[in-house]
Amino acid sequence: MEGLEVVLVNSEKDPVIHNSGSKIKDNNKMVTVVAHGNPKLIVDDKNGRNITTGKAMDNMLTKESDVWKNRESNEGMTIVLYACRVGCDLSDKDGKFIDESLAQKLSSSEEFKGVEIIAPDERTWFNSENVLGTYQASKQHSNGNYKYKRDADGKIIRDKDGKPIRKDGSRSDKTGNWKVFKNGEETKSYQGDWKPSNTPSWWENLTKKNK
Amino acid sequence: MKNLYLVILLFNFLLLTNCNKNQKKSISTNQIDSSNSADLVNLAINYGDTDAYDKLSIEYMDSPYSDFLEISRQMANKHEYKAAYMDVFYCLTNYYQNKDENLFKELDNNQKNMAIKYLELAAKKGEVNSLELLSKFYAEGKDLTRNIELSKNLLKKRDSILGNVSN
Repeated sequence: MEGLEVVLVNSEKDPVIHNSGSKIKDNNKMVTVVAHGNPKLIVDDKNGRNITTGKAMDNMLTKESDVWKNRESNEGMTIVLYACRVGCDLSDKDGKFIDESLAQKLSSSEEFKGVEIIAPDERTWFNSENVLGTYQASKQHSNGNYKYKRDADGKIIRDKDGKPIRKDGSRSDKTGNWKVFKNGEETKSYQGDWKPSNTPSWWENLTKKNK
Repeated sequence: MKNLYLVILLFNFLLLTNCNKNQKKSISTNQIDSSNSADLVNLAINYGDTDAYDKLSIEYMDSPYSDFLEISRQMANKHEYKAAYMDVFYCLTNYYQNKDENLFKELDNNQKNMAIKYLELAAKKGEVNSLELLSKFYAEGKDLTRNIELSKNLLKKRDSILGNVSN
């Protein structure tokens, strides 16, 4: 069946994420979305649009996912967002709260009433074959932004390719959390190395669910 | 006893396989795949390579976005790339770190005018996010003079670009 997973990254620009994102297992009650993102938005690279509202998300899913389009109702549906930090509140670099996360906003929208939304509060990491989970980067500010090398004037130093040089942007071993939202509320959360599912086993609930 | 050895052997094999899997190079969704590394800024600004520019834009999503301003401004002015016009707006307003209602809060008049100018240029080029945001600003009438007709027209233009979107 088409439309179980929705991969919004470009296969040529992001081959690693596209490849492993396309292998994520779904079912007819769970739609997964793989995309670039941050606490404020998801990038729909396919349609050139940033998704910041329930309406925009609903539109995109209706276009890209047969499972979503043909659902009988919202009840029992789960959306898993494999996009960096979309389950993390927007905050300044000292960690002071600015706004609710995108996932929580989507969850409180009319379009996603009754839908379970699972989203990471740290970066989502992939290798060429798998999703590894949500983990902190080795060097990051308390709001999750990377720390960068800077020159004497405080400007970020770029490498020869023009990319900003991170102090250490690699994956750390510190897991984030997969947060589960429903009707605008966080209902539960799981450790970052959990494989998100709409039907977690008793073992996953015992070993991966946060108390 | 033989069975015990076999079990231990199997356990070690599984452990090693799992370790190898996790040791493979990993990237996060906002990190560009640099296997085809090239001078992205050079490709973008001097050759108008939009793929190179898009990669940089994603890479900068997690940074203080203001540092991307000069690159996006040059890409917009030199190559009239619609996404770059929008990025100039994002950089000036610190969009990723701000609520929409506070985007102009810390800007002086010159900066605000420049941000709106680039937002309008992006909209003229048919950049869908700019059409949506500009429509919202015209509807609210807080940062731009209220103009409901224009607001509706901007959304119509966005919808025609996206195809059958009704909100």
